[in-house]
Amino acid sequence: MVEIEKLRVTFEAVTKEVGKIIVGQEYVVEQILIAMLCDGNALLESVPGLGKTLTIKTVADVMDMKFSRIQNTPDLMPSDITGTEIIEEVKGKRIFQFQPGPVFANIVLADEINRATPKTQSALLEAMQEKQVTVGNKTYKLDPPFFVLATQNPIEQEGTYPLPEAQTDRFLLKILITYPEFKDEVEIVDRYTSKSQPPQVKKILGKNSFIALQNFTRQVPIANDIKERVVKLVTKTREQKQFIEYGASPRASLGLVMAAKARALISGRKHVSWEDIKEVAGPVLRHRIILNFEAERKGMTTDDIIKELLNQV
Amino acid sequence: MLEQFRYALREVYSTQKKVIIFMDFLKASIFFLILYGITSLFNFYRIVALLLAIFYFINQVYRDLTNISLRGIERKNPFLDEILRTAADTVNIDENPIVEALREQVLNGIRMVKLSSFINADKLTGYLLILCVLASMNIIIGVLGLQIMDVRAFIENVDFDIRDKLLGGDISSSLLDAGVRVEDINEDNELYDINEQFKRRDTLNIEELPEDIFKSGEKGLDELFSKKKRIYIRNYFNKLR
Repeated sequence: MVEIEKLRVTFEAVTKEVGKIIVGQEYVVEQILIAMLCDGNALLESVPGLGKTLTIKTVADVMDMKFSRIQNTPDLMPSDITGTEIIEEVKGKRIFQFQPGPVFANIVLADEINRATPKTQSALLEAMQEKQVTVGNKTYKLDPPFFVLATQNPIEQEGTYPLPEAQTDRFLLKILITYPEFKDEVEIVDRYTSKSQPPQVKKILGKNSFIALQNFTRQVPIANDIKERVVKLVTKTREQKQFIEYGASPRASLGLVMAAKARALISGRKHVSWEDIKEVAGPVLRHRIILNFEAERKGMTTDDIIKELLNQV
Repeated sequence: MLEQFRYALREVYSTQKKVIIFMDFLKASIFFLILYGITSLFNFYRIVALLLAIFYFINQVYRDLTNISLRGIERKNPFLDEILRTAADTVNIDENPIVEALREQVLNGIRMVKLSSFINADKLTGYLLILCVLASMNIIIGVLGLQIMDVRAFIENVDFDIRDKLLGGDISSSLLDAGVRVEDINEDNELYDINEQFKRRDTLNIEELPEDIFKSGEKGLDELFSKKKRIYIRNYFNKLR
């Protein structure tokens, strides 16, 4: 019999370890863990200087997995991500040898993803969805577990390329990082101005343990009425025409249930609660809903609409 | 574990069904007493109240049993909130360690569930109180013979009016309107004879008719005709006199 309580302790240890570096972003760490447990990808969005990159890097450090980072720039080429074939000399013969790119890792940090050109962004699509990479006429499977944790800056700037809807839909969660609380900011200042060396983190979860946890996530049961309410919620995003131009697809229903299961597991519960759905509804739906002009005119955000719809189901 | 859980779940559902039927019976009883009171006050057929109450009971039981939910028990036992429903919905899932752990949790929780969780005490008290009040009211109505309107008499009076109206016209058409076939009556020899007498009434002086015809007593007619025919014939004769 699984001792769910012990799993909760493990996740608490991960959060605590990340907390040695990141101050007051427990919610963000939890969301990243949810995405990883669901075998999904996450997009972190915030204004500069809130520690998006550092958070992902620290989470990767706590996991005993292969980590790589792609710093997206307008001149980044798809082959810089996927890898390329180079000529190598073996036993006096010159042959083409595949040189894997940074995408061949377990955790890929795609930093400032909206700075890359659409062509380069789309190179990540196959990896994110199919967990494989095609170079030339060869397809290479990526080692599980595989996650893309991307960051982007919401402030409109020159030289950025907003992610197309098809690509944002491939991110299970869109996590918004907000400004820290006053006391947290004081703690950040204190921590990073007094010590010359940043604190070291321990590796807690290995690759195999994490794959086992992903399997457990799928096994978390959910009541039929909660499942039906989830589908109703997603359907409502398509039916609500007053403020919504395009609603969420059935992939959102899948994402909501999976994310809720992962949250239940992190909380040490053996079932999905409606509270879990409410908590993950924002991150799962906010990038899958496109508001219309009327909503923009009224200054409404997707989160406002999601809250309203949650009250209706 | 699975068998134990299934047994516990069956017990929960069975108890819930019994409670639903009992509560619906109370509701149907209230409905019956209300209708009974109304039928008494208006002196209408009491059987209508009983039939309507039975129909109401069957309808309520069917509706409630098809929408049976575990939410009520969860509400009264917060430690079972959502987990009872989840476990019940996943009763057919095998070889899932998390579901098994959940079942164990639910089984431990069910042991702490009291029978009172199945019954809404406030509702039950309310229903019983209403039943007492309605029963008392019905007794008072019965004892004092209270009546707002006599619907039964009204219906019967309406019948009499029609009958009188019909009898005011020609006997053949009156009998036809009343559903009595003249041919059938004429098959009866005695009536045929009487009709023959009537046919000749215009040509005869009414005073000359034998006294016996008018003296035909009810007793004699009772033996020959049905009550319905008898009333028509008697009235007709009275009119002729």
